[in-house]
Amino acid sequence: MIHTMHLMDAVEVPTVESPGRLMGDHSALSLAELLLKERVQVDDLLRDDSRQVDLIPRFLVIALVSFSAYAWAMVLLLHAAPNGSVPSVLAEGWSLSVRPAVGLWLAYAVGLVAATGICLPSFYFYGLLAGVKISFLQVVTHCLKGQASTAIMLIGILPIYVAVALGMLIFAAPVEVQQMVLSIGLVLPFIAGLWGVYSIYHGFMRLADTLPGRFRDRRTCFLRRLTVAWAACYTAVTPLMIYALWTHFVG
Amino acid sequence: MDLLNSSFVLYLMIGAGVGLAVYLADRAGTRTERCIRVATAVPFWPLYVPVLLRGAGPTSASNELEPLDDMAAAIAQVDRELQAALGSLRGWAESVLTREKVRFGELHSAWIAQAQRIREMDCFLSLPEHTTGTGNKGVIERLQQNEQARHRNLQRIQRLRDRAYNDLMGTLAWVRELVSMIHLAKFTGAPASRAEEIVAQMAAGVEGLSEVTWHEEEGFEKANTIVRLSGR
Repeated sequence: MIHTMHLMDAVEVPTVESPGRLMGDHSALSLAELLLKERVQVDDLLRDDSRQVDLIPRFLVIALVSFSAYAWAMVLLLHAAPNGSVPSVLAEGWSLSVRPAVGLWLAYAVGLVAATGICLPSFYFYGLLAGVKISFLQVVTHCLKGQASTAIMLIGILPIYVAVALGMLIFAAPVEVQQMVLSIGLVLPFIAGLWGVYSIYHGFMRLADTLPGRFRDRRTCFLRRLTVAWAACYTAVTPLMIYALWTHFVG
Repeated sequence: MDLLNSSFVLYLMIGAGVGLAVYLADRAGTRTERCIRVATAVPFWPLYVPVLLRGAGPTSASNELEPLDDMAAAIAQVDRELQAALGSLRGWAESVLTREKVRFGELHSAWIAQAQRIREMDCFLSLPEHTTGTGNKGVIERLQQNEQARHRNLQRIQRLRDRAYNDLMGTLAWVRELVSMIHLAKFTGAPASRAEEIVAQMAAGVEGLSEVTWHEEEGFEKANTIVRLSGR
């Protein structure tokens, strides 16, 4: 007699989509998608020491590609603009040759990221001062996450800005208006940078759970202020870095 | 300008060295990924130096103790089981794993610290002058009182030690129970939220253990103060 095994009813296990799927794939594009859709998951990824080594170059690529796209868009707009419309900060070194164009690209692409490197030690010490358990590598990753968030926001607002600037050039707006719009274009990364700063702030605040329980409330307030202070420091350093690089490359 | 140029050259030279180090240190990934890593390491080497130094750092050995007594063996076993259970959360409840990873590190540290404290109390109590004998009889009354107070303190320390030991063993047993619940939840196809509940319970226990240790130390200091005051 053959005993047949009783067939059990299949249990439908609910499958929870997206966070695991997105977190499993860590290419630069998927990271960009995570930064847009699942910012909390990105912060969780940053807490995993084994993944930070992979995340750093990916965040860097996102930032560099986006800043380069922005810089070349600005170069094209400045080339299309009449001479009198070039903002005064660039007017001295600007011309239609290759050198100023490359100089502007390098100034923004390198300057925005290099300023992060300058401000990193202070960010690390602020974290230690607040009592947060964070390694230097985690600080680097958080800062680059902020850069990548800034870059994605910049790419988001760039088409709108380009459309406005092109319209202004095509319809021959007054020179002062053109100069003002082009000047706004030069500070566009700093406008987008507000999003990056918020991203860093959000990520750092989530690290407050590493603070000892007895001091958590007091220290969280202190951590918040230190993060804002660091953001102000970075905002002050970055334009100086960009201008210094521009001056150096253009001569 | 010459200073800036020479600084720039020096910067790039360091960057080249760091780029080479990045290439040699990490050969994982596709060729394109390696090229991107090296290419970005040259101009942005300050961002890669922590990556290189992370690999060179020694793993934390400050809590490694010499001979494996019953407490160390129990801690090692529970730690292994806990790591296995947390490892099984990958791909299922990964978010809670990365969120609470730091706390589980603290849990291990708290166990080690508690075990070390118990050992120190054992060493102290095993010293010949600290054995709780009946004391010298026939000594004048005041000395007898001091002697009795000393014995009482030693008994308190013994009770403190026993309580700390029971707490440690109790915590280890409790974590083993939670670990088995994680495995049970995974094999019965429970939703990820169930694992998150259990892990959150464990993580909450970490703080509880830290708080208990802190209160015990505080109570011990107060007891010491009372002993000093009554001994005068």
